[in-house]
Amino acid sequence: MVGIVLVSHSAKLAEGVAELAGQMAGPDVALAVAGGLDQPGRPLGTDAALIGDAIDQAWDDDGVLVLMDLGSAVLSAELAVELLPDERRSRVLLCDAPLVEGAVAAAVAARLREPLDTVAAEARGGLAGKAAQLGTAPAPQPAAEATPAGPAKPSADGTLELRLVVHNALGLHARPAARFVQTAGRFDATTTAENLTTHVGPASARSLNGIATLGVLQGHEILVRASGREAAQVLRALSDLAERDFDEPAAAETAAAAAGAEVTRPSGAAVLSGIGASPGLATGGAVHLRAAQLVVPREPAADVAAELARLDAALAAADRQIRAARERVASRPDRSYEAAIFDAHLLFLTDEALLAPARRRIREGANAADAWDTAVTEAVAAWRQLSDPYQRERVRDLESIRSQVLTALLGPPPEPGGPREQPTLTGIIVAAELTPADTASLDPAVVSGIATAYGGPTSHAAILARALGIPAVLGLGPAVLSVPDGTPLLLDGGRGTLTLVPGAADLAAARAKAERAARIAGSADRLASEPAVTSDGTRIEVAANAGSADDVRRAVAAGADGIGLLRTEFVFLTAADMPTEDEQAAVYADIAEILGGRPLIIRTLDVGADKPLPYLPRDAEPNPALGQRGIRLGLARPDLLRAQVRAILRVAARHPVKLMFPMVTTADEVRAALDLVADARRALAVAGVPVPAEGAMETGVMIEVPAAALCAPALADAADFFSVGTNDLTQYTLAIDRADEAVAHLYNPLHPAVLRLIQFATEAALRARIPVSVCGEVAGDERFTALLLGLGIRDLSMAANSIPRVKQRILGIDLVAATRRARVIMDQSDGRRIAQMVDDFNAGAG
Amino acid sequence: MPVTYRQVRDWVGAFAAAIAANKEYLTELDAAIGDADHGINMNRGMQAVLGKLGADESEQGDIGALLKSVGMTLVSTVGGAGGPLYGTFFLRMGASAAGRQELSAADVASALAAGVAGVRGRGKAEPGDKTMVDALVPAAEAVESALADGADLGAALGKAAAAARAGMEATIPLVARKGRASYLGPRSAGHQDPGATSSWLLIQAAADTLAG
Repeated sequence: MVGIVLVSHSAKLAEGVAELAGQMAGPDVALAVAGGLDQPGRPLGTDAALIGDAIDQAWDDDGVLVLMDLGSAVLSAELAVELLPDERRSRVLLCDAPLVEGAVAAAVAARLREPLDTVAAEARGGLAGKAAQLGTAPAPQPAAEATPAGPAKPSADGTLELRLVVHNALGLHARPAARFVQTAGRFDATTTAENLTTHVGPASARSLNGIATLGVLQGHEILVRASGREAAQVLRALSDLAERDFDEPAAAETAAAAAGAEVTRPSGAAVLSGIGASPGLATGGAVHLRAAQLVVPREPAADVAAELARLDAALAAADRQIRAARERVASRPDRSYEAAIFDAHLLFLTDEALLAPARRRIREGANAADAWDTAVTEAVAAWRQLSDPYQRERVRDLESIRSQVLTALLGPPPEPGGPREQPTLTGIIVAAELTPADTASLDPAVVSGIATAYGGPTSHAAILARALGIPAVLGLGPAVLSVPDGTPLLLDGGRGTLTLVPGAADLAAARAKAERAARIAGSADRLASEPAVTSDGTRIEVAANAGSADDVRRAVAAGADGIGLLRTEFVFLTAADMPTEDEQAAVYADIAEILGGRPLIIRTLDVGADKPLPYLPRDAEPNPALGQRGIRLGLARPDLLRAQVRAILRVAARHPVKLMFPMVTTADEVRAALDLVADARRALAVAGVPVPAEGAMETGVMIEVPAAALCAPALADAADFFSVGTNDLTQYTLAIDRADEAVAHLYNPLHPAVLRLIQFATEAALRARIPVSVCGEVAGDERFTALLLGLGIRDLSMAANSIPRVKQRILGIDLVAATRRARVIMDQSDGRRIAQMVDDFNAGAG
Repeated sequence: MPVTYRQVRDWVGAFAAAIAANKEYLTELDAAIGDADHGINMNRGMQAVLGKLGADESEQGDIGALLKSVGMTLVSTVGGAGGPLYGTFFLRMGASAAGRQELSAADVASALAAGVAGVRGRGKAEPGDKTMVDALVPAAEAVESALADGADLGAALGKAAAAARAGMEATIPLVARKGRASYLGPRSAGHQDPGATSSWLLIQAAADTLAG
C-alpha cells in the first residue's frame, strides 16, 4: 500500500492536510508530514532532513508519494530523495499535484492499493472535481498552451483542422477511441487524426484500429483534419466529445497491480497472489475453462463470392453474439458504460482496416477463415508494437473478436454468448485468460469466482467481472493452470489472493470476514428500517425521491419505505438516441428489483425546452418553466409518452408500481393521459404482453401548479393519488425563480399562500379518499414534519439522506397536538410569524 | 600553499559573520521581490552552523566532513529555498573534498565547481534567471580560468569575488524566472537579487579566508 508524505512550509498546513487526507485514507495508509522547521515555534520553512524522516515513516515497499506545497518545498524534497539509500530512491515519487486536492485523491487511491503511478495520476487529477464544480476547464496541458483546443481552423488546402488534448487517464484506449470513431463516422467528411506528441499518424478517424494505434496517452495532443461537406460539423462534434473527456467516467477503472507470486504460509496451504480485479470472497472447486481449439484451414478456396458471403455471415453472427453479451451486462443496473466495451467490439466488425485486407485476401484466393485470421494477426502485431500497456491490453479485445468470427466460420453453431463451449459452470473458473465474451457469458448465480493466469486490472474481462459482481483475481501466473480440476479454492478478490486447498482456519477466517461485513450491514439496516410511527401510534410512510438506480440503492440502504418519486429524466438525458420502450422497461425493472417489493411511483418525463434532448429537436422557448413541459409535452408528443407508459405498464405487471404525471393544470389533461394509459394497456394485452388488470395500476398527478391545487377536487375525481411537489408549487405561487439570485431570498415554502394551497389540495384528497403525499424539499426538512402531518399528510418522500432525521422527528410527534397547532398556524398571514410558530412548536411538546 | 582545515573553518565563520552583518540588507532586498525572509533564513541557518561547529578550534580535520556537516545543517535550518540550495552547495563541495585534510588550488576549484553545479541542478536555474547562479557561475569560471592562466589561489579567488559581485549587480535589470520573485514577472526588474547577493558574500568570504 503506497505511503504518502505531505510537505509544507507550514507545520499547521501539513497537519491540516494530513487530517483531511486521513479521513479518506482510513487507518491503513501510512501518512506522514514534514511541515515547517524542526525548531522552537516551528517556523515556516522546509527541511530536507524532516522530509527524509517522513519518507521513512511512511515507507512501504509499494513506494511513497510525496506531495509538496511550493518553492523550497520542492527543492528540499528533491534533496531528501537524493539523500535516500539507492534502493529506496526509485520508489519515491515527487508529485506535482496540488497539495490539498492531491493528498485527498492520493489517499483514496492508496487505500485502494493502487500502484504508485496510479496514486500519482489520481493525485494529479485531483483538481478535476473543483474545475467541474466551478465550470472552469482543467488546467491546460503544456501541449495545449501553444495551440489550445478550439475552433476549427482552415489550413492552406481548405481542410479544416482541430487540435485536441486528451485528458483521459488511460489516453484514447478502446472505449474513448470507440466514441471518437463513432462520432467521426456520423458525418459526411473525410477525417484523419494524428498524434502530434509522438508524431504518429495520420490515421483515418473512422477506423478504431487507426485511432487506437496512434497510441494517444494522457496529455497527448492530437491534430484532427477534416474535409468534405460536413467537415465543420465533425470537428465541432469531436471537440465537444473531447470536452466531455470522450464520455469516460472520471474515475476510470484502475485496480491494484501486483506480480504473480507464490507464497507458502506456515499453515501449509499454498497461496497464489495476483491482481485483485473484482472484490469479494469466493469458495469452490477449480473449474478449468479451456479454449476450444480452432484449426484454421489454409487451403485456398475457389469461389470468391461464396467466401465473401461466408465472411459476411460470420461477421453478422459475431455481431449478434456481441449484442447478446452486451445485453446481459447492460441489463444489470447502471452498467451501461461497461456494456460499451462491446461497442468497441462491434466496431471491429465493421472496421475497414480489418475487413479490407481480409476481403482482398479472399479475392486473391484465400478461404474466408484464413483471410480473416491473417488480417487480425496483422492488426494484432501492429497493436503489440505499442509501448503503452493499456493499449496492448486491447489486443485481448481484438483476439476475442478473432475467435468469435472464426468460430462462426469453422465451428458448430455456437452457444449464444461465447466462442467456447459453455457447460453450466459452477465453482471458481480457472483459465489462462478470459475474453470479454467469456466473462459476460458466465452466470454469476453459479460461478463463484474467476482466477486467471494472465490479464491486467484494466482488461475488459476485469471490468466486466466487476460489473457482474463476480469476485476475480487475475494475473496469478501460469502456476494456477496446473491446479487440478476440483481442487478446493478460496479466492479473495479484494486482496488478490487464491488459496489452494484452504485449511479450516483459512475458511473460518474468510467466513468470519464475510459475516463481519454482513453484520455491519445488517445492524445499519435494522436501525434504518424501523418504521416511522407517531407517538400516538400512526404509521407514516417515509419514502425517498430518486433520479437513478444508485439513488434507489441509497434509498433502500437509508431505510426508505419505497420510492415516492422516481424522476425518469436520467433515462432520457443521458441517452444519445430516444430510449426505446424495451430499454426503459429494463431500467425501471432493475429499479423495481432493487426495491424488492417496496412501492415505486414513477413520474413520466418532465423536461422543458431548457433541457434539450439531442433526439428531440424543439424550438427554444422564451420561458421554459411556463412552456411545454411535463404532461404538456407528453400529450403533444404521444409517441414519447406512449413508449414510456408502455414500459411502465410492463414493469407494473410484476411489481408494485404506480404512475404519476407532472405539471398537470386541468382535469382534461389527466383524462387525456389516462386514455393514453388505457389504450397502451389494451394494446399490450392484445399483443399478449403481461400488464396489470384494468385500473389496477394506480395513476396519480403531481400538484405543483397553483391551478392544480385550486382545482384539486376535480383532479381528485380523475386521479388515484396526489403528490404535492412543494418546490415548483412554491416557485409558481410566489412567482419566484430560485435560480435567480436577485429574488431567491424571497423563496419561502412557509408563505401562507403556499401552505393554503397545500392544505386545500390535501383536504380535497382526503375528502375523495385518495392518498396524498408531499415530495418537495419541505418533506425532508424535519422542521416542517409536524406541520405537514398536522395538515393531514401521511406520506412523505424525500432525499435518502434526510430519512433518518425525519423518521426520528416523527417518533416524537403527537398527531392530535400537531393537527391543533396546524390549524392555528393556518390562520396566520405572515410568513415570518409562521416560521416562528413552527419553530416554537418543534421546540415545545411536539 | 595548500588550503587547511582551519582555513575552511574560518571561511564558514566569515560567511556566517557576513550574513549576520547583512541580515537586514538581504531581507530588504528580498522584501522587494520575494517573501522578505532571505536574510533571516540564512542567518538562522548559519548561526545553527556556528552552533554545531561550536568551539572547533582544530587546525586539522576532514575538510569533506566539515563541509558536509555545514550542508546538512543548512538543509534543516534555513527553511527557504536557500536551505536546499546552499545545503546542496556545501554537500557537493564536501563530497568533492571527502577525506581530505588539505586542498590544493585545483582542489578548491573543482570543489567549487561541484558545489555550483549542484546549485544549478537543484534549482534548475541558468545564468540570467536572476538567482544565486548569476553570482556563483561567473565566480567558479573565474577561479578556473585564473588558475589556468597561472595565477595563485589568492589572486584567483579575488577575481572570483569580483566576478560574483559583477554577476550580482547584473541581476538588477533582470526579470526573475525562478523562485518566488518570478511570480512578480516584469515587476521583478530593477531590484538586486538577494540570493545572488548572499552568494557574493560567500565568495568574498572565500577570497578573504582561503588565500591567506
